[in-house]
Amino acid sequence: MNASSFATSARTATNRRVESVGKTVLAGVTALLILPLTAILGLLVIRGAPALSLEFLLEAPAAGMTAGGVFPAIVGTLWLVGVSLAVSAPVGIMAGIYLNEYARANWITRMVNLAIVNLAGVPSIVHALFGVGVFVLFLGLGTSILSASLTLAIMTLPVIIASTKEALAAVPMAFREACWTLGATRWQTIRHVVLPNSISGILTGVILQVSRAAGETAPIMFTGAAFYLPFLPQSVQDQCMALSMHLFTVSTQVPNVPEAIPYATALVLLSVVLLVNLLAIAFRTYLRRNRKW
Amino acid sequence: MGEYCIKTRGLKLFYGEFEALKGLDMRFLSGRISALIGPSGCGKTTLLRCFNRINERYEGVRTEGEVVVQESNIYSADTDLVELRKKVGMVFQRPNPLPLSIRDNILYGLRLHFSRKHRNASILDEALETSLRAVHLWDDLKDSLSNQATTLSLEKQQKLCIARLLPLKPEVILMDEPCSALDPDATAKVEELLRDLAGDYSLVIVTHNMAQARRVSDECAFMLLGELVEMRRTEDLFVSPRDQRTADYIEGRFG
Repeated sequence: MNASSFATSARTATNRRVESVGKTVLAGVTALLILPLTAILGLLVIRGAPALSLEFLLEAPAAGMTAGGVFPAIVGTLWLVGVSLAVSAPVGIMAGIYLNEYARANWITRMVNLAIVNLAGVPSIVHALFGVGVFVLFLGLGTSILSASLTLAIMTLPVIIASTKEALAAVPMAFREACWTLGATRWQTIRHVVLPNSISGILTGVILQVSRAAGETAPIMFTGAAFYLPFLPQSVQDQCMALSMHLFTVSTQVPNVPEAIPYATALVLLSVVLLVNLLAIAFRTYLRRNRKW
Repeated sequence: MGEYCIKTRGLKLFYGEFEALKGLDMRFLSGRISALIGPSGCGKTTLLRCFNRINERYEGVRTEGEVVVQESNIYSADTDLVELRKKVGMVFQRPNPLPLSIRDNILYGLRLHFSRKHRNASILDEALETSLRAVHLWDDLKDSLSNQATTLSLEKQQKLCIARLLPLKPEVILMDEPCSALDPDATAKVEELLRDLAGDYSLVIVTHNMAQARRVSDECAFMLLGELVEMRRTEDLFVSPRDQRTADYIEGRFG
């Protein structure tokens, strides 16, 4: 009997080799991605470990930042993230809903969309200048948590709007038509069907902005974050310390800081972001489970 | 109910510059099934979507002329779209149950239009049973009313989409190729349902399937390139078409 008519031909063998090379390269690159991630985390843990302790979390910096902890900075970061998202999440989500569900495709809408895209690309230091000009000076809010949070809010808005629009656009048109044909108004349609089916996507966009608000230094540096404050903020009109700012300070601005302190600060910053994200994800899961209307 | 459920006068529709409907004067019988047939792009779906003004949700659509439902021109300035859609319901090509329970799907219309105090449990339960019975689903579904509607078979989903319109007591039900997503068996069952609904409701159905138009409809309109070629009793149209183009189309010479 001859060789099977389905034996591997030369051409197929080549194809198969290319296939396996391609797969290996793609998998390899993906594996490489894990490297910097684990390296960063590992470095932070190893270098920061000597400074980490309960006191580090619960005490204020001491001895000109060369000792003590980061408690006021943790509190400040939570203030900034909380207040900025309390502003940008509702505003961004509402704008996203309007743009996706109501706005007609005319030149005004196109301008607004263009502005949002461009706003997303503005460097954070420019946001900082804007914040100083508008919130601190023009509106007279002074250097305060409010000014800093509003600056962060402006910075995080475009992404929240964009992800809201995307999540809404993913809801099938058929759901909307089903509502319309029963005489539902646009708002009823949005409220009963569109939002419940897009809320987790919308919240994902918001969650991603938590780390942005917590991590940026430039926008808060001139608008509300202080190098060192001996007291905790009592209201949004006070200044505050912030982890990102503190990290900048202890790494570059103050002499004779023990090496472990900046690393430990960075580790705390990451943990705070992670913690806030986990809370938000828990909230999202809760909403998803209670998909009621 | 008057003799005609829908009348159009000089109805034109433009998508931007393109004239999709070129001045239609038509009358649809009340309590009957009227079929719209014609090749793709002839405007039959566009026409159907004029009757509940759902076309207007899309950009660049402009309409001229009149569509009269219940003695009122639905394109007059004082037409409230919400009121119109309660009277003129629509069923789509692909069944589109909302991602809710079977019960909530059926009662959605009532929840939209009646405040909490005007809908007590007994009214809702009655509407639920009546509507599901009307579409032959009650016996199958009565024990699983809280299941997700999206888990039903396509046939049942489509019947549910029809049932969902009934609590609002519509005058007309528009159907845009309601069986095109269904297998032949399911199609037969939905067609049987349509025959049962006729009489209580006026149905206007768009279909690609000439055999279906012939089986279910009482009157039939053949459209071509945005114009009405002829509209007559279904039997007459298929047996002795007056227009050569109708004859060619129903004999499958073009499609």
